Amino acid sequence: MVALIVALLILGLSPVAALIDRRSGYIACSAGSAVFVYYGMANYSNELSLFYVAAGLVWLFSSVYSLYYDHHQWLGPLYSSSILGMAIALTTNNLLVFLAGYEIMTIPAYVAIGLYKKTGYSAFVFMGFGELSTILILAGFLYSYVVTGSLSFSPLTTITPFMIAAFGFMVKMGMLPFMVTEWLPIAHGNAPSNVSTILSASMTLVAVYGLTKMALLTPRPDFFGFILLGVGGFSVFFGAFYAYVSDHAKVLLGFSTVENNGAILTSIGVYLTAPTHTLASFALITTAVYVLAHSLAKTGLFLDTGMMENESLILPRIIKNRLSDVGCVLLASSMSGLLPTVGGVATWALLESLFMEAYTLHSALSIIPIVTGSIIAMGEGFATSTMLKFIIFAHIFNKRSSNEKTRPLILLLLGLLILAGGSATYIFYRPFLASNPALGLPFGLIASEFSSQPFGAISPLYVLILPSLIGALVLAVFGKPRIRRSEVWNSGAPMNEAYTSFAYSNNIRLMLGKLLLTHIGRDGVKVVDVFWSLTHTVAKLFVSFSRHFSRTYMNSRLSWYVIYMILALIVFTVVVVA
Amino acid sequence: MGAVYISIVASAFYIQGQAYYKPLVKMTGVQSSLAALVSLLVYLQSGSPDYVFLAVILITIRGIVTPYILLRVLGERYGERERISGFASLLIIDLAFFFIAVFVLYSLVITRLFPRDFELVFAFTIFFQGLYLIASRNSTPSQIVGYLEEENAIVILGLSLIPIPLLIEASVLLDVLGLVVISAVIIYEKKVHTPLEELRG
Amino acid sequence: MIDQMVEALIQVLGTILVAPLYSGIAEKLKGVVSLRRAQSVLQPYYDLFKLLKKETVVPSSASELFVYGPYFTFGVYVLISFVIPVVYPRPVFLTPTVDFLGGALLFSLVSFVKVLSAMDSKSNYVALGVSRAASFGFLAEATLITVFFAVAISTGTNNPYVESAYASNPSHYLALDHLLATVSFFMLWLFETGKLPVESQGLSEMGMIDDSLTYEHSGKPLALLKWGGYIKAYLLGSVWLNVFLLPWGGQVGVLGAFFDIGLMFAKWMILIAIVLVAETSLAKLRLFKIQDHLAIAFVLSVFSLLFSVI
Repeated sequence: MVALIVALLILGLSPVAALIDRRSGYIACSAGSAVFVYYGMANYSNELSLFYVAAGLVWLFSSVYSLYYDHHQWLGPLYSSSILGMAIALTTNNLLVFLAGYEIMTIPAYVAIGLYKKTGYSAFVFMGFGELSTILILAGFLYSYVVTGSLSFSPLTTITPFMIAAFGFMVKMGMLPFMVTEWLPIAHGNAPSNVSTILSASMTLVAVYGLTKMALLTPRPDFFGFILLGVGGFSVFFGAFYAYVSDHAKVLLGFSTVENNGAILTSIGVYLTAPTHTLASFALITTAVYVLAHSLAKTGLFLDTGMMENESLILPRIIKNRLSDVGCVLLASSMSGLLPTVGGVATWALLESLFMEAYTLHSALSIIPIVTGSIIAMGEGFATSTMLKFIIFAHIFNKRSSNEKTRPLILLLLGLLILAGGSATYIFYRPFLASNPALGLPFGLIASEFSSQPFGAISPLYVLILPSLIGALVLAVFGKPRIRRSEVWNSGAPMNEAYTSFAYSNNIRLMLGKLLLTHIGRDGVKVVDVFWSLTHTVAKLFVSFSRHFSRTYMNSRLSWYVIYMILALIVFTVVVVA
Repeated sequence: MGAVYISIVASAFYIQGQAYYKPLVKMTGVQSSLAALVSLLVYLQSGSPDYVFLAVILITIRGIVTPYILLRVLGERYGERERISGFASLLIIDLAFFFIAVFVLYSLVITRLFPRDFELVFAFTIFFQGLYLIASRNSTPSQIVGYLEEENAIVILGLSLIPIPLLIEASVLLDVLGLVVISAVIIYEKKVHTPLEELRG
Repeated sequence: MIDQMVEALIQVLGTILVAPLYSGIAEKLKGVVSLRRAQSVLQPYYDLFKLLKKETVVPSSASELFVYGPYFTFGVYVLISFVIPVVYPRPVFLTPTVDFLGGALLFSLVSFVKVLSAMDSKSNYVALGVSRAASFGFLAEATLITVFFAVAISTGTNNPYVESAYASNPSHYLALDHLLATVSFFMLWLFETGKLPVESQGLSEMGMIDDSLTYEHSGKPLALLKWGGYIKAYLLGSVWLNVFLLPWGGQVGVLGAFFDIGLMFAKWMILIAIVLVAETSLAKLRLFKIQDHLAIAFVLSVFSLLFSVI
């Protein structure tokens, strides 16, 4: 408890410190985040504490990174205030204080986007959707107050408050069809990468936290979880798909956030609809682990884009360094859902829980988890290819190099943390540990269960150790290779003509052209985000309708105004007397 | 008394159908005189001399002075009229509106509040008629005449409901201040009301 | 425990040492069918030994990932051979390291590291092949995951050994979901191992998808990559044979483990016969048509999942 107060105090002072001196603000932020992480780890009571750890680590790493990142004078206070808002929202048990923290988190980010914007409407779109989400959450909280009569998070008896608030949180998380709230502010907003980090990784963490907290209070099982399953599944697919065809580094990462949030939403949906208690508990832990995996990896990748001089993957100019290469490869492998990182464990657990649910339901309702699981498997395939694209064209395929040490070191630390975290996830899966000493696995085995029998099992620690050992054994058996260096053959063309990232994903642009509305025009191949263009069309229709309506209604003719008066008089008389 | 009421209503219909300014204004004078006649009849029934004062004021100011001023401002040209087309349709719409608004309102509302006074329906008739006149015309004189009709309606309504001193004072106020000063100004400034582009939307 | 360790060793060594043989047999038989004098059955072994002795030429801008990546992928393949029923019909030492789905994710890990190691050479031909492989990755990985779950939903566990025992029951074997999953897995196997009609062997750039990943390697890393390719074909094919097509006949015990290697040989002859028919009579698909091939496989596997619960 003391740790929490200390953390909040330091975080509260950091905007003030940032106003005075930029660096001291970031140092204060880092210190506050470190205390926050300690608080989360020391008071580990249920899965929600994992959110504190994840959030604290995100803030810590990006604050330390910001110390070495040159930027505008107002960025420090805005950044620290946003983090303060998030900290308030995460640690309170009162509905209104949560909303206050939510707004304190959004508004400095809006200002930061507005300061750096490239197009006129990006900050406005961000704020518009942010306020939409706040309104929905407020409505849900009001309903909760009406039902329970108290202003703190208390157990509910109906699912309606959760439903309304869930839609609000889903808008913030960037679920279908609101994906635009994720990629537009980042891409056209041109925010610096530490702001992009907290926009993508941390704000969506707060939304997921709110959603999980409300879900823990609602009675389960409930049918609404199937809707969450559907929305989450399709968000995973479309997020990964749009990420794959984008060539702007930050847009790619923004869509990847949409994909991961969809997976987290699916996991919450499994929690809500699981027929057995064991499965629900497994799904809940999976949610927390997925949040941890996504936050850490996304932070690292966004901080990596901070080292790019332009944001395009087609002609990248990035500061290449061996340390950051290793770190980013580890982070990308976690985002692709590969063992033995945390992301791999989370992906495995999510797919297992979906198919366990299909097995336990064993009725026509199982269609929903099965179809969702298949769509998520497709999304995972896209995610792997997308992360490969990012890593290859940002790091491996280019040749500039530098000697900068500190920022790449941060990335390397994150990567190692994710790798080690994968083996350490059995700490979080405390009720699901298994062991099989007869077959050589005395510890470190996580089993997925929906009843007393395990469905499947995995041991990330062994996956980390064994291939490395075997590879080392093979190296010893066959000996080290004799190496001779030479140039690569490029059919006689100069070496700087390279295969671009645009060409990398062009196959999909053409093969799945119906989904992307691919258009081959004079200036090349163009794709659209269909949901954003739909929203844009609806918005334009509404604006033109309202203009027509106002010109028709208020038409500056005296006759019509007198008619309005007559009508009002009649209505008033009838209403008052009757 | 009923005959007076009916003739007031008839004059209102005549005004509705009139496009030429001079007969319009003169009929307004006639209508105000009829209202004064009603007031006299009420005096005869109740015996309070205040009603006579009201009648006198009505006849002098609203029956003679105001139309005279209006006619002066409008000019003495013969045959000046407002440009309207489709009188017949306006009249039919007027009748429809009259029946719907007045009788519905009356049967639903007024009978609950004041079940004994049948004369109120005439007052409401003239009131809504004045409003409709404003709504259906474009030119300033017609709209001012409509306003005058509404005033008459208020006076007739008030005869049975409001204390008489208040009625006299209100009537005088509406006449002198609102009507003479402003309407002279307006008629000088704008003969026709057209929609203003800046005011749209 | 010692028994399990010995059985595990037999399974793993059987996999590693015997896998290239099947590729050699398939090539020889293809030559016989085409009425030409084909290479010897042991040719893959000769190739591997030759490569192990050669020097390694590394592009000047490549890093250690290029040289040592293949060692890691080989290690992962060996780990997978512990985990799935490729020789022995019961769990052996270190089997519970991952379950069936974890096995699919490990295959994904291998392709990830292989791609990164290949792209480290900064060659444009490799990039071309990688982009083709990546553009089918979503369907291939999706099919791999869903087909591995196909039997899991019927049995209630993701343990491949239990699923294999379940499928040996004739009523379960002939159920619609099992048949659909079998067909779907076979179509996926053709893609994953680069057989016609998906990909043509050899280094001609028009047909390269998987072959391009080994384009720039040479010497010992290339030997390990090729060996890894043979092991992957063996692993996926054996899973298909042991869990889906012919889940019968496995013996237990240390002697049974030796017998099982011979049994696998017999089963593989059937698979090679099927592949022979496919490779000698079908032409290579155009690149965008591969999406249709994989989409059919994916849809079949999803149907098999749906039919197992309805």
